Amino acid sequence: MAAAGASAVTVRALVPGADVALIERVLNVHDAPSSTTFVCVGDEISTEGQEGFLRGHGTQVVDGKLVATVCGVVERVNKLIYVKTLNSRYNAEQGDVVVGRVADLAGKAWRVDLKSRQEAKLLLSAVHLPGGIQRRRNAEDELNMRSFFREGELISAEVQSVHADGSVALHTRSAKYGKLVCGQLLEVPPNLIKRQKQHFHTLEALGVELIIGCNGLVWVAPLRPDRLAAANAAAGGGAGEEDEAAAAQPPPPPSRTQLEVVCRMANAIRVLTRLYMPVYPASIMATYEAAVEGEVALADMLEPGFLEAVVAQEAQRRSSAMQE
Amino acid sequence: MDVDKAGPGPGSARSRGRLPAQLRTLVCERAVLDRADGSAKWTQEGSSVLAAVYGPRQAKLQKEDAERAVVEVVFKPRAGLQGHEDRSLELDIRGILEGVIPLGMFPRTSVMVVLQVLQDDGAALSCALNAAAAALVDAGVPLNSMFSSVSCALTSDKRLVLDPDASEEQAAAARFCFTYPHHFDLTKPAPAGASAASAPAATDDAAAAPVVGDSVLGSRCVGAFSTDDLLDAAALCRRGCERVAAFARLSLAKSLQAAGGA
Repeated sequence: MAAAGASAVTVRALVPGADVALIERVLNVHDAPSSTTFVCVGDEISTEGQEGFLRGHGTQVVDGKLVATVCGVVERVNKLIYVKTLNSRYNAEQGDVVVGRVADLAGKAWRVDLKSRQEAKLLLSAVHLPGGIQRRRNAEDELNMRSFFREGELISAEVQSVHADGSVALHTRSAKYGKLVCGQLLEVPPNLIKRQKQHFHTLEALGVELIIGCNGLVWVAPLRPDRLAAANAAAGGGAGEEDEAAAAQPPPPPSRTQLEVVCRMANAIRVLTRLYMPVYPASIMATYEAAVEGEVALADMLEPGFLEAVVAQEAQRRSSAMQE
Repeated sequence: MDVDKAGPGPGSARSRGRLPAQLRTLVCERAVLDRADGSAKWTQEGSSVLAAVYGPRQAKLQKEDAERAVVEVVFKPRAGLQGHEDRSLELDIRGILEGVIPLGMFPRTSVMVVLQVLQDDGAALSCALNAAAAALVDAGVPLNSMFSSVSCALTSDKRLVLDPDASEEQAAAARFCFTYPHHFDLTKPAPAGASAASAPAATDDAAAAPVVGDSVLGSRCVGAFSTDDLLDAAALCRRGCERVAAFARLSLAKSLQAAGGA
């Protein structure tokens, strides 16, 4: 870990468990209360009182009993029973918005790395063609695949389907999906990302575009006119003539203040990741505003001082929410 | 084989007065590495191994299997390059891991386990297997059962000693390393009529005794020994595995508590 000072670089040793110790110190909590819903590998999960149940991740049926295959907490949502671990790779579900990097091109499809168990496939027939027209893809389109996405480029897409062997098919059938340029990519544990109605957020007041991928990759970028047009088109339905014209022009380079705002948002997300708190727009904005109001310097946002302030603020928010 | 005789006598004196069937102090740290999916450092007093698990993730085309996951093991000695002994250990460890990971669940993926020996004072293979087990749990890789591993050595005067250190291993006529599956229930209190368990039933939280299976997951035996020695060593290691399993349970419960129900 390094923090840039005025002219020197400070290097601090990585202490595993330091963040947990920080949280315990601020909340004055030692030895958190034990919960009885932890399970370990091979433990039987009780399904009493439930006529039918859906078996989710981290479980398997052995001799008619539901048995856990990972160590973690049992979660029950309606009829779905699954085991949630602290650490896990992203498991794709249909309809998830994801951010991934193109790893390879192979015969009418791109292979996209989603930081999941397997690379996902984006078929040429599942890509949004400019102009929004639907037509058959011919041999010329196949030869020009690199003009759409090259190896190493970041794209946002939606999960079209997940097959039985775990392979994932993506699509970018909307103007809001596509290549991502000029911004910051952050890696967040996928367990911290909740599935919500909206994963694309254009914060016009701040001039920032935020894409929270369900696979744990979060994209923060200065808002550009063509992306704003795409967002409006997706929301309003149908691209207008002015939007097309705006998309055709090259966007102006971002100003220093815009870049600082983007960096501050990125640091806010890093703070939430360090404290293992869920990452969603409200929590990101709360952390961002806490940094702005506290006049915390950009480089000091990851220091223990600001982390403690965020922990205290979250504890207060939760206790007042519980009192209501 | 009266290995439970109290007090070290002449001829069987172990360093620091250890009993023949006494394990060394166990320490387990989880989530020590940042970039690995799962990691753990397992220490048995003088021996220490760091394990890192990467996966299940996309396998390379040459190595991928369309029907099951591929397990890759890298065993790095404390000093120097990998030798033939290390390659042989990699094969053994891979066989054991292929037995516990449900490979058919993740076709076309690979699970890579990297084991680095930090200190070697005997029983390095057992230490490595225990570290791998903790790292797999940390990574959230689904497993069919937990496993633990213990080494023992047959001394020149035909006595079995559990968890030998380096000097005992070198002086031994034969060395054994057995890996047994086990499971424990973190939700239930001590089950009635549990099989042979040496962990005392104390409070309701720590009362669930680990149950070690009868079948062996893997074994590695080096030296000259009779069939009776082999069976005695297997039974002794099974009892040692019960204690390792009890420790693993405590360590897991503690680390899950520390992270809280996040």
